[in-house]
Amino acid sequence: MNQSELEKRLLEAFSEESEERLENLFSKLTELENVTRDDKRKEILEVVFREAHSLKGAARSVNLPPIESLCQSMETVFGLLKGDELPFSSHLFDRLHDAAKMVERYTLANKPARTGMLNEMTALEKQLEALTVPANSEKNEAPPEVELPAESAVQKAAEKESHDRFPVDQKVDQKNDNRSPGSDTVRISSSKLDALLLKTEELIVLKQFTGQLLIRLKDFQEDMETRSREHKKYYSKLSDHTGSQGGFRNLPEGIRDYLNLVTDNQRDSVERIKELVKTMEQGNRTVSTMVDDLLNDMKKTTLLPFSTLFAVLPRMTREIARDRNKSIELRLSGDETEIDKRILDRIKDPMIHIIRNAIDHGIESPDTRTLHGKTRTGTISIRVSQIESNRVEVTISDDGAGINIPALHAKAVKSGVIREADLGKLTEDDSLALIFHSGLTTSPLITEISGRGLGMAIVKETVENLGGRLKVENVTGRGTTLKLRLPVTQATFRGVLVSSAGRYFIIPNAQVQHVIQVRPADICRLENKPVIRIEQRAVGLVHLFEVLGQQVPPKEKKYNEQIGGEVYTAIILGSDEQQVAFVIDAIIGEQEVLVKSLGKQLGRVPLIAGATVLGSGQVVPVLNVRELILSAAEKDFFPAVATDLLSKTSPVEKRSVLVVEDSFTSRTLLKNILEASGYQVQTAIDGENGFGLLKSGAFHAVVSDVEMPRMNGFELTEKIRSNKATADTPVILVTSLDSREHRERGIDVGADAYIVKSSFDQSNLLEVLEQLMPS
Amino acid sequence: MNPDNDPRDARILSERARQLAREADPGYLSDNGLELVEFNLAEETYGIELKYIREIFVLKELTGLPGVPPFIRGIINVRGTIVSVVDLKQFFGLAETNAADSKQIIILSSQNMEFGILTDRIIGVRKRPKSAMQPPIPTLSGIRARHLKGIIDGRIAVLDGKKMLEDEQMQIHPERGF
Repeated sequence: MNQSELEKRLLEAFSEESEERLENLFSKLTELENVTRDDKRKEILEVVFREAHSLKGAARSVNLPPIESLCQSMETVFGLLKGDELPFSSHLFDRLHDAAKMVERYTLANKPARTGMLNEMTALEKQLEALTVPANSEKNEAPPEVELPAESAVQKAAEKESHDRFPVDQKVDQKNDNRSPGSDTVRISSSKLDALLLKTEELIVLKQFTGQLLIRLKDFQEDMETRSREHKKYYSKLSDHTGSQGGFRNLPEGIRDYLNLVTDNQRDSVERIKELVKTMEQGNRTVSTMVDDLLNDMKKTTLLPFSTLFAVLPRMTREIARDRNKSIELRLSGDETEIDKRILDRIKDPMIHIIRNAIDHGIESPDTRTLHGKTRTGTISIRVSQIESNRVEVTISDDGAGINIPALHAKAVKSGVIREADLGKLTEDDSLALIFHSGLTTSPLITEISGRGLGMAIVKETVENLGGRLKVENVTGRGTTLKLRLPVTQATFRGVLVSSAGRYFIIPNAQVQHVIQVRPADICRLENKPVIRIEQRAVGLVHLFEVLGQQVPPKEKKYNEQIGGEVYTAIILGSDEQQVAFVIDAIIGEQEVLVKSLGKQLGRVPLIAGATVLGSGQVVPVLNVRELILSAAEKDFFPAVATDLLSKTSPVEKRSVLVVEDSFTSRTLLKNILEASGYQVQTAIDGENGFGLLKSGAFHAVVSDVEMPRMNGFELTEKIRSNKATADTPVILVTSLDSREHRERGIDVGADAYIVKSSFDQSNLLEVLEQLMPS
Repeated sequence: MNPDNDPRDARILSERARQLAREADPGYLSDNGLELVEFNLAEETYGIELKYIREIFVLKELTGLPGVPPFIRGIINVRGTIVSVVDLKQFFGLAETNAADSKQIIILSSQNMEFGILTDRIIGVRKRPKSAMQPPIPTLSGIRARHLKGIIDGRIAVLDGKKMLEDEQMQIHPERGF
């Protein structure tokens, strides 16, 4: 290795080392400023002294005198503080922060910029030196002269000692400072562990593969059994014909043997496939369990404590607070809680955003705080705690002014998220949820998010994409609390595999509202944009391939024109307040999905959240639903506005059904089935709720569960029958109670039909409903 | 296999023979030699230093992505990690050949960047002394000139792996936080 290469490597090593030391220095400095206990102070001073000292040594070895001398100044100050020869002051801390920041800037700067910094550095050094003078002169005044040289000799000795005690390469010691090392701990580079984790995650593909194989095998088994039955039918017909019981004696020997052979083969194959399916089932189960267990353990191996994230927060908070002229104390707790490194990486920016928000909009200026009888220094506390085995909760709260709900309302009205008249309907939680509304920010869409204040919408999305949840609590005047619930390990989620213009995409189940069939007749136009009607609302209809900008397949181009009788599959995505129907080619299936990033080159691709690998090995993009909706809305119209227009302008009367069901899943299932068949559906969560709805609106039929809290299906039916206005409404009871008594009870109370869930398939319900519907 | 059957095979073989003959070059032994992976792209031969290459990957399937520039041909799964694939012909604005893309992808990698490049054909790995490299022809301009480190043996364009990995145009919408 030649000289210049050696220098280069040394410099690289230095920048790595200095980054680490500075980070520690910054966080410890902030901590030091906030602690008051003397022993704790001493402890921290020891650390910062050592960091400055080691950094000085490192700078010397790569020949960076400006850093060396600035570190020397810091070291001197720390030394004095340690010996109680210098009082703590915020001015002092500001200078120390400046100095550390200067070192950082210098390290990161290129050569010409460095030369420009020299003056500034010398000035800083002078300031630091000036700070140490009064301390020294005070010492000078009081005690006899003799002590001074002795003192400095001690200091020198201490410095020499510290040289010996802390050799230049301290990375190892430093890390161990934070955590008590267990005796049976092994150090493995994180890149090796990451690679192992990736490979383990790949095994999910194997799991999917065996699962699919099993399904295909079972299909085959069914096929074989059908064929075998078919065979038996012919066989017995044939034996009837030939008149002999089972022997076919009338037939020529060759044919007889052949028939027997085929029969044996059939039986044999059916037996063997049955056995195969059984073995495959076992194998599949074993593989699944093993893969899940292994992955679970592997994930636990790669967990990191929150302290790695907490290290950067104090400094950042301090800088923002200083910039905004606010005084903030940051309290951190629970930093030993462990979480998946990738999750930790991804919530870093959201957390910083939340803290910035708290400082910007939450904590008041010191004067205002005094006015409201609060301490001048505001507090932001971040608490991490493990609430379940695979769930942590991060609580970020400030004692600031809280969210100003009227102001939020005004902004929401102004940006068209909500109409002024509807404000009254909002509950407090609804209002608070407005802060997560992407429509409330000015940025139109995606790619360039920096500084555009998409803020809380993205925070929420990031948390939700990680499988977490975000909640906001507010006490106006007293502060805001945000609660992030996060999975400890990166979880897989269920996703719907769809095809659009011949390509596959994954959509997270959580964001799929329903899947519907759209006939040309269902499509109306609103301000010249195609919409369909779902539960009194107009929902914009767009082709997914159009939004994605895929190559348009020519024959599907005119979806909104009247093409005779063609039916489209549309998937309705979004949340309750914002939905868009996307026309797709087809739903391929539903499956477990592990989202991966798109790699280092593709930082952020519009409309795409990541990618996943299917059981077949195929890579499939995972769609970003929030951006899809924004993008569709931009292309077409703003859904919230249209809702209202349509409900006034198009009085298309569909036949309406009330679904009464306490289970969320069954309710959704029923609703989807009925809506897919063109009924307009409203839902109720129990009999009482249902009866209330029945009184206020007309329904053509009621589909109800039997077992429900408050008022069960029998009671509901009785009530319906005894009420004049509803007495003629058909009632269908759908239930898992399959007993004669129950059926009879159902008939007694006046139900028109009684469908047992176990025999429940949609055609059955739809047929019955069709029969009972008033024409 | 009879090489006479296909003139292309014959060409490949003779090229290979020439390269093998060259291996005895003193550059092979010298310390500061260049280890190059050579490949064809639009009828031209390119080289790229081995030290920037993570691996050569045989393509099974390429998944296209909407919303990315045309030179990003799609993404692949390399043992659990998703890697994007760049079409240098598009990136450099070279003529599109009729030949179908080969299945061989060179994956370039650094601390902060990683992508694969589609090749028409990978020729092999070869060591050459640094002295064999001449600076790029000054008449070359544009995006390709920026990524050219030099010409070796008067005919192989050596791409600058470091520059390619650091090129901002290669980076698609870097994530900049909030």
